Amino acid sequence: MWWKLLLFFWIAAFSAIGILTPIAGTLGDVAMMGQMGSAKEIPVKFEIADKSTAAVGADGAAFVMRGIDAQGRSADFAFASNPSDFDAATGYIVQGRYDAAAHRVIVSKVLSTNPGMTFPFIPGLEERAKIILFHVPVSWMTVIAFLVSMWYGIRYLRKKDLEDDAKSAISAGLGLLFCILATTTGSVWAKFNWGSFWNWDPRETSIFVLLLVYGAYFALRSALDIEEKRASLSAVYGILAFVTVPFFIFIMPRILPGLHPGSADDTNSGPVVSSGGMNATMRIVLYSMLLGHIVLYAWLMRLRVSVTRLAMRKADGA
Amino acid sequence: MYEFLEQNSIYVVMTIVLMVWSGVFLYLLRIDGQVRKLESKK
Repeated sequence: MWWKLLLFFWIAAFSAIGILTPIAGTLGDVAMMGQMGSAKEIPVKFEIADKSTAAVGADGAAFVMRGIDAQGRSADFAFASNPSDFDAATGYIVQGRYDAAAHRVIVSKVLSTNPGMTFPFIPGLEERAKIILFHVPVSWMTVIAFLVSMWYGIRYLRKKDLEDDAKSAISAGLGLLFCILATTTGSVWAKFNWGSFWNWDPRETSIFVLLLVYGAYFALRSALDIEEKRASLSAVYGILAFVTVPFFIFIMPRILPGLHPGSADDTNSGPVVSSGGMNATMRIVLYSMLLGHIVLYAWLMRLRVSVTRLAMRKADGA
Repeated sequence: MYEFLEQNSIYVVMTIVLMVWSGVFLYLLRIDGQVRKLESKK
């Protein structure tokens, strides 16, 4: 019982951390937006360099303070007026844009005072980068569930125990559920990031094929009436199906150019785990979410296996 | 609705979280159905 409660609090806490942690850019980010000619304001985090020098600027229009960003670069930050919490502040996350001529950041809004944990600003993704904390664990669960399904398939072929076949089918079902969730969540995200629900990006194409491969697994199971025959055939099919999983999930989307982070032509490697470009805070939250999802999968699997086992016993007894 | 989500992209992330939990909930409903069937079969 205790680990189920712990699981609930674990996933709830890390989901909340993931959603609430503010995105904060650096002076490099805000300057780059300015160079690109974008009038868009982005969140910038800085520490106040020297409080005593903060004052109303020479033009008399703004309250200017010198700030140092996370990379140690400094610039002036021009606030519309003296922020009311200035005495207690050591740093801010502000929303603003860069004025290259005056070498200052024009602040339109204070987002946070004395900020703690932050996630990096990734151009083009921004808050949407947080999908990685929810979409990626679900995708990895797909792989783990299909792997477990293959494992029990092999066990069935060696020991001919129908319970192993049931476990194999249950795990494949969970894998398919996670696969569908990864596809639909990715699709909703794609609508806002790439402009359309479905773009036939290599990643989308490969997961679509994977859905078909495992959809066929269940079509095969439902087409066979004799239990032993169904068990051996689906075990063999499950093993062959899993051979395609690493190719579709890990290889094909990485060697082909595409829209999805981690594609061959991705220059924005911020949110990709394998490139090592991922921010340490985000990585800790991601791995914690992943751990939570593994336990969630194990729980759902155990629950379904218990019920199926009961049903099998009842069928034997009758 | 679309514009709101486009400008407040944290709600896109929230939608995605809700979708994942809806999926888990549907799975629980299936287990529930299986238990009920088992119970009524005596």
